Amino acid sequence: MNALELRGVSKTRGLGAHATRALEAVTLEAAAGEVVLLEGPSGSGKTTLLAIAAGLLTADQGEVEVAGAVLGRMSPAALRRWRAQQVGFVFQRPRLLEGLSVLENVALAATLAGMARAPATQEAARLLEELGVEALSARRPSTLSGGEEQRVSVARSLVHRPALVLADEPTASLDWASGQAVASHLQRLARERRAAVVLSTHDLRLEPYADRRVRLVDGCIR
Amino acid sequence: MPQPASPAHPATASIAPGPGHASLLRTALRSRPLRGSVVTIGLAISSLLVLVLLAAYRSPMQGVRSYIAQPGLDLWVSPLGTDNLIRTAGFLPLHIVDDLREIPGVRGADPLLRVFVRATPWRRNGHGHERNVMLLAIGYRVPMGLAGPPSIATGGAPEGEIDVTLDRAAAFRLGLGLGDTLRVNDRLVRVAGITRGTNLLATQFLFFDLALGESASGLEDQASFFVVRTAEGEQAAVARRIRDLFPGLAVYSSDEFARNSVRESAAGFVPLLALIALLGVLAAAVTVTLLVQNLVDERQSDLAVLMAMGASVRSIGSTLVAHASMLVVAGSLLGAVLACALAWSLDRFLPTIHLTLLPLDLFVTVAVFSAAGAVGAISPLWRLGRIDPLEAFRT
Repeated sequence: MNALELRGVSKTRGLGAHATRALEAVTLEAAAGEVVLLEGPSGSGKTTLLAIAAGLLTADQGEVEVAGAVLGRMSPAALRRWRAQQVGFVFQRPRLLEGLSVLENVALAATLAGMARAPATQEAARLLEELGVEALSARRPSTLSGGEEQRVSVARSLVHRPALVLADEPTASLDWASGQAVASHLQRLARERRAAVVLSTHDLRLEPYADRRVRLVDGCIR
Repeated sequence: MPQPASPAHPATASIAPGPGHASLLRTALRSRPLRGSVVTIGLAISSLLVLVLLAAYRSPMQGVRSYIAQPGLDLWVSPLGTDNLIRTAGFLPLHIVDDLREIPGVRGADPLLRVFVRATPWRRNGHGHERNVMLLAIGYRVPMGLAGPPSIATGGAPEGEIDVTLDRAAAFRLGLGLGDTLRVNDRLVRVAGITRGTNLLATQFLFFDLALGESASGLEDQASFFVVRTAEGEQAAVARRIRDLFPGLAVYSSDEFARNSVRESAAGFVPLLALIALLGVLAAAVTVTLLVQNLVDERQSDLAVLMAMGASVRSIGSTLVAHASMLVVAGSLLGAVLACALAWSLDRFLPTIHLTLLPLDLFVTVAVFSAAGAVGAISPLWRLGRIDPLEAFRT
């Protein structure tokens, strides 16, 4: 069973004269532990695809299935609960919450997925250690470098053992060395935790850190 | 290398967020410490304002009640049309008191003369200015008559015709102490005692001998009221007998007379106090609304990330309301502490203003502020529903 399956997904964004076809009959699969590199120019529909896979946008046509659950059949509340448990995010900007420490930022994702605070904190600490940033646990996000923040963001995306991690240009605002480190950690941990990863990027240098490359142009897989 | 999907991730499971997420959300979404402190102080000042108004209202009400309903006073007899101590209509012939004493069930009856007098210290102050205050004077049968001063702070009740006992706020305003001489409507008298709980804010009580009251006011052989002590359980029967015997008189139980007097005292300023108190509560609610609205606007991208991660609008909203409520409770409790400190300080250093803080008022104020704060916090939450989780993807 694939962790992610998009079957003939189409999506139009905007209304009336401003409507544009963001995705056109896209079919995409990702197995558990597989990293799929989704590359394409700006405006090709990469973020729309990630949002549909996360259930944040609804497809106009086609079907989205994540770890056996068909998203179109879920109520909004069930979809939100499902997303908390089954999806992890790594955004272009790490978007850690400044009010929380690094450890708490990671633990929060686990508690939102249903874990109690103590095991969530333990799991977060373990993951930060695996990423080599355990020394940052008590620090506030604003005191971290970009690379450190993004590594914490990777920990946050995986702490609740999701079926799917959606990474939206996670290395775009990092230097190459930091970007490599982040991509490498993401690939290793996703394999260990058997999470499918869809990593959107402009940067083809990340290809060695993916199992497969998919090109998206004008909303179509090429 | 692709591997089979993990059975540890049942996609259809619907586990509620863990018990730890609420406290983490609270920590994540709370306002900055400085802003939170400023809001708390603002709320404390609002609740202090309301508590001071309540206490200022309670003080004269309690003064009136403690005098009128003091032990040993069962009935108040007044001219028809006069149902309270504060505003009186006409006087009664003094000799009626002898007839009252003859009524079965009456254990004692005494006349009271209630007049306003001008009190002036005998000596002028160092600047040659003459201080004077108008006081609500009660002339009674000194030294053993009914309805004397209810609570003595220092000294004693008047013992002779040249003695007066006056409220401590009046003594403070006049700069008088025990044994000092003052003029009451140009009669020289001596301060024999100072009372507490007799400050009506607008005026204060002064107690003196009935004869002095008559000569100082020119009202000879007249009384404002008669007070009656009855035998145990005879209050209603004695009241009926007095009404039968003197149809031209009004008779009230002490409780009823006290209630009427409280009503009369409060009538003038309660609407204004209520309006100011309402404005204080509204100011608190608006402060909380601004705080929460600010949090929602300022943290929009954080909130979008949380929503993308699966946090519900309801849990974020209740977190914000809980945070605001905590500040409101802290602010109103701080206001209560400040009110107690202020009441103590005024009592010690400026007795002119007496604040009576009741535990019930403290509790009600904290409860009202908490409710107003919760309403204030809820109103900006509709904006949460307009936050798009896709914001999290935007750079």
